[in-house]
This record gives sequence, structure tokens and C-alpha cells, in this order.
Amino acid sequence: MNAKAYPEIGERVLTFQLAERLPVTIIHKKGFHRTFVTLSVPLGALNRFYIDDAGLQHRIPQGLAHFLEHKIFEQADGDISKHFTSDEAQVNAYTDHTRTTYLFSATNHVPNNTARLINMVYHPAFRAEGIEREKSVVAEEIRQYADNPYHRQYLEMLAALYHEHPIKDDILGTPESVLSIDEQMLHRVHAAYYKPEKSRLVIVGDVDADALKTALEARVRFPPDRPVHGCVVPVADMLPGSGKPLKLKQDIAAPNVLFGFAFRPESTGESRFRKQYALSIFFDLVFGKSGHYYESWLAKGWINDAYGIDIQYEPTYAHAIIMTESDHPQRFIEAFLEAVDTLGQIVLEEADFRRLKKQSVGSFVMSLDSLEYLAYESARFADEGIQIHDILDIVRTIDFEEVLQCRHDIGKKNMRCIIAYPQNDDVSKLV
Amino acid sequence: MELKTFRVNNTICQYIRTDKFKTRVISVRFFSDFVKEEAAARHVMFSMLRAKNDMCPTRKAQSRHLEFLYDALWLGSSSKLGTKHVNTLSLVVIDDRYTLEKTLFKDALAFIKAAIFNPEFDAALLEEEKRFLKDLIKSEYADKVRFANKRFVRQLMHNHPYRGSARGTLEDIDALTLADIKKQYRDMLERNRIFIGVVGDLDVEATHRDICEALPLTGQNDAGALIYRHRFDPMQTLHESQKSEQTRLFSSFASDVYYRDKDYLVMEAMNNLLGEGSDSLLFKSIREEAGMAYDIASGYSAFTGLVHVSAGVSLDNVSEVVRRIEAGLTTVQSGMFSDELLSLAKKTLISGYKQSYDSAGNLSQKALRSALFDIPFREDRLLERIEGIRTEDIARVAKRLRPILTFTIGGDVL
Repeated sequence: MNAKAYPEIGERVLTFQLAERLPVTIIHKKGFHRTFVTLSVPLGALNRFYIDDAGLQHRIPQGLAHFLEHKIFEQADGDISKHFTSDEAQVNAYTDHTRTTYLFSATNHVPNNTARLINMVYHPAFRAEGIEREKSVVAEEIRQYADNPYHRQYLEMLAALYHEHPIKDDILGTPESVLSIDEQMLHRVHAAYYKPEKSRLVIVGDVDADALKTALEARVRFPPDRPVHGCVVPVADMLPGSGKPLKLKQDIAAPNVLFGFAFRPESTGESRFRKQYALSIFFDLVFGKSGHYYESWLAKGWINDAYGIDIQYEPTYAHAIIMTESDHPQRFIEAFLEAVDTLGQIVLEEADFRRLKKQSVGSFVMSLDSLEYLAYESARFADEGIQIHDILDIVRTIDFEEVLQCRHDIGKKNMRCIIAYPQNDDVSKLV
Repeated sequence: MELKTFRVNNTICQYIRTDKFKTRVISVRFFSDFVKEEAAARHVMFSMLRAKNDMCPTRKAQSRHLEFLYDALWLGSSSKLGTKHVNTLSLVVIDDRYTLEKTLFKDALAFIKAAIFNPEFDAALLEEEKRFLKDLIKSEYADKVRFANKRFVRQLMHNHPYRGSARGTLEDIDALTLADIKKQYRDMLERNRIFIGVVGDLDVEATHRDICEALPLTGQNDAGALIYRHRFDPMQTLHESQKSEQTRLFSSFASDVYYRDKDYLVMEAMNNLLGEGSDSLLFKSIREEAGMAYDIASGYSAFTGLVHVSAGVSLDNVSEVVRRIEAGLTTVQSGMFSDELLSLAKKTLISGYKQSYDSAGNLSQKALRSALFDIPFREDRLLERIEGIRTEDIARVAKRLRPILTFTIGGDVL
């Protein structure tokens, strides 16, 4: 077991490989009553192909990663959740674009629950009857998201930004794609992607690491490796387009405006993190609540306090989306376009940059109180070759010039706009 | 972990010392009686108070100041708790030891002091906050799940004396004047019951001195009961048309069991067993067996004595889902559920209580509750009582559930 202490932030991290296959990270949190555990596998909504043992490539239907996540909980003796509950744990899972994460939060029996989680994930018990029944459950989940217009706006923005890339598809899939899923397909995709060597187990809590390791080595069974494999997800290319705003009619009460920018991700883990951080600072300096434009737009009534910025930066895609409600969408769009056109002329102060760096220190330290944040982000950063606790050291090396360079990454060439407006509005005169 | 309580000028000051967090959370809570006609004024006043002050005279200045305070989280809410309207301010900062200056806690107190004692109330800010609030209320129409919940609560509480949102109505918001805001502000400082709480790695005595110096608030006594026991109407079945993919279904039951009543913990356990979580009766019946819902859950609201079941379903399946809810309740009322199910329900409840000690915000709430209801801060005794709950106890409290509303909305217009 490798141990590393971070005395500046009062943290201690242990790493080892379980049975020489599964990478494990233990983040020690003294005094916490609960332990939070995640096991993430590299199958997300972006993974749309696998290679079989004959070397042939097969397509994975949209929504299969999410569907598989649902079915993992069904074991030979029924739903496994009750065994976790019986051992004072609440188990759950979620699927995003790049991974599926199984998790529990427990106040007792951590070794039992962790071994159970691992064995559950690597030894599925798919049954045809359960698969068919789950399709109607997922259909209801799809309908529930369909009743959220913001979800559709987000998907439409991704579709506007990206060329042929699965990032623009709904993680849940479509009713048709879900209906096409069968038992054989689940087994094959599971074999291709659910490999301990490519997964990550993170344990955050007040645990006895040596005792836990010993218990897991005694109880965990990994399947033999099989000659089926996942496929590399290509990097997303931006969709060439006219740049004219896309208009969306929805059952909403007021117009929403979204601006999205797509970026080509950097090639290494640390360079991606540096770029994401620099972009985040740049967007805050220009478009954030303490930035150049926000207060003016607010005072003019062009935006309200629903205004927000979201930046996603992954190995195969990267984008920033700014969204707001606006009773004057035309004016806001014109003002925003002008802001983009004049980015090179805005004077940004290094003092503001230093203040935002200070903010980053605070934000990072604050997040260390969240067991969930530590578990999720630890796995994500580990996939990028970064130990989450080393982030502060990286942030300290990022200078103002690196942030200023980001202005060259933002322009109309990689920008899209969506206006969602209430169904009864006359938008014939909108841009 | 220890709680220490002081009373200064009738303001309750509570300090929870724990070294497991890297942050300190400072909360100030103002309690007044909930008055529907004044809700909008009180809510908007509080939003304005949080927006700017003499230390930070613009929103931009305030955003920058909070960034400067190492990303201090400035939170506020205006909500209902039983018969009361509660305005809560919270500031979360990292512990001084992680900063260069080592003065962050005192700087944070100075900021809260400026917000509470020197807010900048002006006409432009009032119009801006009115606009934000009206936009927020209107935007709730967009998310159909959220909108359905809102319509359900309106139908459920239609003749409850404490009905109405803590934010007021659109009409009341429109009518607000600066004079209304200033009156609410004076009332809050002069006529409210006040609680201050700090959670973190504290020197309690020194922190208390700092709090007394920075926040010299004078609280009022309040003999009014927090909980109002309402007699809900007999059973109604209502449907509202709504353009949506799904139908949202709500079944509501009155229990007449309220927070800290003798059967309160048993009712919590009953709710877990009936519909809270993936081990529950209704989850098994409606989602796993029938595949009729993704989202199906029950909830128990101890301040209204209500238990309700909610689900997102297809319109065609509504009557079958209602039948399964009724069948599930009958099973619980007759005690015909397994020992395993009871054990799981109790374990979920116990685990939830234990886990709640890992959040500074929850600790602050526990301290508040102990002051409001004169109960122990630590809940170990409660856990023993939960362990002792038997099948017949669950069946007994379940028999007290009286159906009062089945409400469906949506799924019928595309």
C-alpha cells in the first residue's frame, strides 16, 4: 500500500491494487460516521462500440450503458439492495457520458458492503424477464426527463455544437433504442467494459485501511479476463454551421437563451486540467457574476439571477454553456455577440485573476468536507493521471498569461446559440 | 462533538465544536409568525438584505468580496416551518488555518454584520428583486414535475390556515413598496425570535465573544406553538389537465401524528416501509413487479401530519397504480408484511440519523431543533426507540391514515 500525506490540507491518501487488478484509493476522513464508496467503470453513454473475441466491431445501442446500470442490481436471489440496507448502507448508481458509477454510503459493515458492491458489479445475473420489465421503467424515466424543457435545451445545444459524436445523444437512449436491448447484448458489453483493471474503487471515510484490504482480498472474486474489448471514443469535432441561432418552441413561461462554445480538448490529463481551469477563470473574469458584463446586463433587465455558466472538459469533448432566462432575448443576444466580438479589447486585471485564484483555494478546501465530491472527482482525476489532492499545486503554477490566452479559444467560429421561447410568442422578428 | 448554548439579550447562541470539518458555518435565523399577506414583503426584504450593504454597495462588489474571502458561500432562505416564517442566513468559510491571513472568520463576521445591520434598501434594488422573484415563480411552470408538486400542494392545503408560499403571490410582490420592506426589516430585528449557530473547529468562548461583538441582536420570546393540527377535508379525487408526457400522481393521507408525538418515530418507520427507498413495499410493487413507474416514493411530513405517495406514470396506468397503493397500505395496516421488511425500514431510519452527523448544516439544524423543542442534541435515545418498534406498532399507526386527496395532473394533452 502506498501512502501519501498532505499536511497543508490535513488529508491522507492510500492507494493499492486489489488482487493486482482493481486500483483502489482510500481517502481517510477522521471522525466521520459514514463511509462513502464508489466503483466506477469506463462505460458511459459515449461508448457506442465493442470488439468481440473474433476482433469484429459491434454497435452498442443508445442508452445501453444506463440500462445495464439498472440491471446490475438484479441478482440470482432478487434485488441486491436489501442486503446493503441490512448492513446499514444505501446503494445507488448513475451513468454519465464517460463512466458508470456504483456507490453506497454506510454507517457500518464497510468491508462487507464493499466486497458486495465489487462482486455485484463484476458478476451480473441478467434475466430476460427482468430485462423486459425494466424497459417500461426506463421508458417512464425518459418521459420524466422529456417533461423538463431544460434537459431538451441542453441536448439541442450539444447537437448544435457537435458533428457526428454520441455526446449529443441522450444518456437514457430513446424508447426505440431501449426496446432493442437484449440479454446477450448486455453480457457482451459487460464483458467488454466491466474490467477491474480499467475500473476504480474509491473509499472515503474513517476506515482501517489494512483491515479493509485484508477483508476485500478474502471476499472479492474477479472474473477471468475475456478477449472482448471496448473501443476508444473519438474526440468530438465541432459541427460546421451557419451560426444562426436555433429557435426552439417549448411549453415554458419565459424565453431562455443559451450560448455554447466547443473546444478541442488538450492531449494530456494535466494539460486538460490546466486548460479547464484557465477557461473557467477567463469566463468568470468576463462573463461571471463578478466579471465585466454581468451587473450591467442585470441592471438593464436582459438577464436575471437564473444566469449561469457551466464548463465541461473531458478527454473527448469540451464545452462551455452560458444560459439565462430573458424577457429581452433579442437585446441580450446582440449584447453577447458584441461581447464576443470585442473580447480582444477588454482589459482584464491581474489583481482580479489573483482574487479568483484565492477563490479556487477556498473552493477546493471546502469541497474536501464532501465525501461524495472526493469520491467522484478522485476517480475522474485518476483517469486523467492526476491525484485530486495535487490539484492545488497545479493551480498555483497557472499564471495570468495562460488565462489571457483563452480569449483566442472563444469566438463565433466555435459558438452556437439557442433561443427557447414560449409556444405562443411571436418570434418572427427574433434574430 | 459538543454543543454549548448561551442566551444573550434573549438571542440563543449555539456552538458546536467538531474538528472533522475544514469549514465553519455561521447561521442566523429569524422566526416570526407566518402571515400570508406579509410573506412577499418579508421574503423580498430578506433577498434585498442579502444583495448589498454598506461594505459591498453593489452586487459585483459583493461577489468580489466573497471570492476574496476564499469563496465564502453566502446562503439565504425564506421558508415556512409549521406556523412560522423563518429567514435564515448562512455563511460558510474555510477554517482560518487554511488561509494566509488567519483572519477569515472575523472577516466573515464583519460581512454578516454589514448585511444585517447596514443593508442598502433602495427603489432600484426593490424592482430588481421583485423581477427575479416573479421570474422564478413563473419559471416553475417549465419543469413539469416541479409544477405538478406545486399544484398538488395548492390543492392539498386549500383551506389550511397556514397555506400559501413563504414567497407570497405574484400580486403581493407587484404591490410591494420600499416602506413595506423597511417595516419588515424593523420587525425582523425588533420582533423576531433569533437563533445564532456556529459549527466548526472552534474555541467556543472566544467565538462567542466575537459573535456577541459582531452581532448584538436582541431576540423576542415566542410562546406560539410551532405546529398547527389541522382537520383536513374528507377524501377528494381531482385531475388537472396539463401538457406533459407523464401523469404525476399524488395520494395523500392525514395521520394526525405530528413531530414529537408519541407515535412520531413509528410513523417515520411506517413511511420507510411503505414507500421510502428501493426496499419499500410500493417500490417493489409498482416499479419492480409492475414496471409502471421509475419515480415512486412516499414521504411523511411531521409538521403537517401528512403522508403522501407520489409517482410519475402513464395516464393509462393511473387506476392500477392507485389500486396498488391502496393494496400496499392495506398490507401495512393488517401487519401482513415480513419481519425482514420491518428490519430494513428501521435500519434505513437509524442509518439516516447516524449519517446526519456528517454535515455541518445538519448539525446546525439539530442544535436549532434542540432549542425549539427542548430536546437532547444527540439522538442516541431515539435510535434505541426505533430499534424497539414492532409489527403491531406499524400496523396501529398505519390504521390512523385517512385518505384525503388523490390528485393527478398531466399526461392528457400532447
